Amino acid sequence: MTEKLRQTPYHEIHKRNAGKMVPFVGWELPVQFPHGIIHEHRKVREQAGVFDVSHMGRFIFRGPEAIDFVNRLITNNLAKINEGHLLYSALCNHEGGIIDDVTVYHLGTEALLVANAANAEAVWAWAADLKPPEVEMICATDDLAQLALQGPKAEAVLRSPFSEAVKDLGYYCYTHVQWEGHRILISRNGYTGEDGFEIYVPQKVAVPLWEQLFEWGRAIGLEPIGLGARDSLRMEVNYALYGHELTTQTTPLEAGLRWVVKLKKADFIGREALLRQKREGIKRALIGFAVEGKRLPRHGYAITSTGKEVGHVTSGGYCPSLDRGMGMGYVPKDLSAVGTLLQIEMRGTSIPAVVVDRPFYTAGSVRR
Amino acid sequence: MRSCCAPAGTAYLPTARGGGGDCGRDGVWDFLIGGEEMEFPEGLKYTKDHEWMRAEGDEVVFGITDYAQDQLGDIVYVELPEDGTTLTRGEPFGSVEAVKAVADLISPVSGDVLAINEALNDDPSVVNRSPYEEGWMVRAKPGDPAELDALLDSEGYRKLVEELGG
Repeated sequence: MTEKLRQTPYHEIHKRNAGKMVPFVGWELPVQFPHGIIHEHRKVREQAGVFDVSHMGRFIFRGPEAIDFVNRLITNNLAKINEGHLLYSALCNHEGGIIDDVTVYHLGTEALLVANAANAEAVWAWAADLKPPEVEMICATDDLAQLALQGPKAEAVLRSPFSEAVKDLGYYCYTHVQWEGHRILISRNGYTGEDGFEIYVPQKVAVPLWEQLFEWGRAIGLEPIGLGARDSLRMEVNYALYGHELTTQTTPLEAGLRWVVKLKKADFIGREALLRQKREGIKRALIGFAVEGKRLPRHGYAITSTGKEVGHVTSGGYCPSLDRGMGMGYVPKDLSAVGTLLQIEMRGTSIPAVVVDRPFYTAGSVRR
Repeated sequence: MRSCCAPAGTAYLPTARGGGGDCGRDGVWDFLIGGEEMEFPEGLKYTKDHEWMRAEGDEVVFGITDYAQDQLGDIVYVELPEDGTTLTRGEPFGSVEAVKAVADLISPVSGDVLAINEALNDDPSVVNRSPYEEGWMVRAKPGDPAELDALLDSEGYRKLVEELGG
């Protein structure tokens, strides 16, 4: 059973750049380019790179009750921000389990919700099922391409008319830019721990915009970045990844996402369950850990304490900017304090690990 | 070199072997094809596990192939046995940790380890840059030289890689 993989508007460009194309949640995307993941990781930490994130699900909610409806779906509070701003949130089921983690753009009377590709269909179906008839849902996934320009030099890449538009753009704010006769949305946010932007561009000018960015970026050696470095960059700053730290079996309170759960806002789906969990206290918590030696902790490895299995690694691997193996995982609350000694079962050997502060990497250029 | 896929999910790549999702399937990096022309030097022997071996008198030197390093991507640690370790053909004798995957090193011969490439400890990326020369891993004395005859030659290995899509 092989379903045909979907391709983004940048597919030909990735192949021209000798990207190693891999299947990723139904899409064909580059995992890396010839210089490799470590090189790409450093490029984003030191200069800037461009990620094709067009595979994300992009849904527009329209109608007088659109903002209220989306706010009922998410744990963060859309009523607290205005047009021109976006937020990061969990989207939970009635039990408080995480269906997806999303960004939501407050477009005034409309909202743009950006979902993980793996969950796009589930989020769409969930919302479509719950929405009042007055709210219209529009799938903009195919109409728009999405790029992430990330790195300390990201702003320096941009020229007119983008440079003026982002000059005073705050973190988690967006604006519109008219370019080549099309309206492009650009926001200051990202998934790397560096300064940078996400750009939503109509299909028609998706490729010309990529070429323009790389022409402007030549001076700083702008490069395309694959999924491999996207993963290592986000892990180093402990951003959660759906299917790893986040699943329907975990709640945002356990996942360290307490800051996006606004229990005092108007009712939202999952609130009752999350209130109860807050009252009773969480039994397990997400930790970050560093391992001894050079073997790398990887997704699925068991975490043990005095010989007893207490959890498993949700994300793990080599952190290029820290030159060591680190990871994340869930353990019982009483084993989650910084400094706690644990072991990771690595292919037949128990390797000592210690719970450390998050984020692992703190020297990024991200604006807060 | 053998690897295995991680549990199903949204992992960017199949990664770990033995981490709860060991499905015993070889060649999980087969979709990671592309880039520069692959090298298959003449005069070397090759295994189906993507190791190469060079006979030098009554000793052999071996490491992983260009295909193997390309499939693995950036290598960050090579775990090798100590001098004097006895190798058994077809059995793991070490491992290679790359950013996105870990693979067992499978011994192409039975015999005793005479030396390992200590330089890989300081800079394992040598294996990516020079898999057949500076990136050698083990020098050993084979117990049964006839074992070498069972290995693939350059052409046979090239065909194997082509079948894998390389």
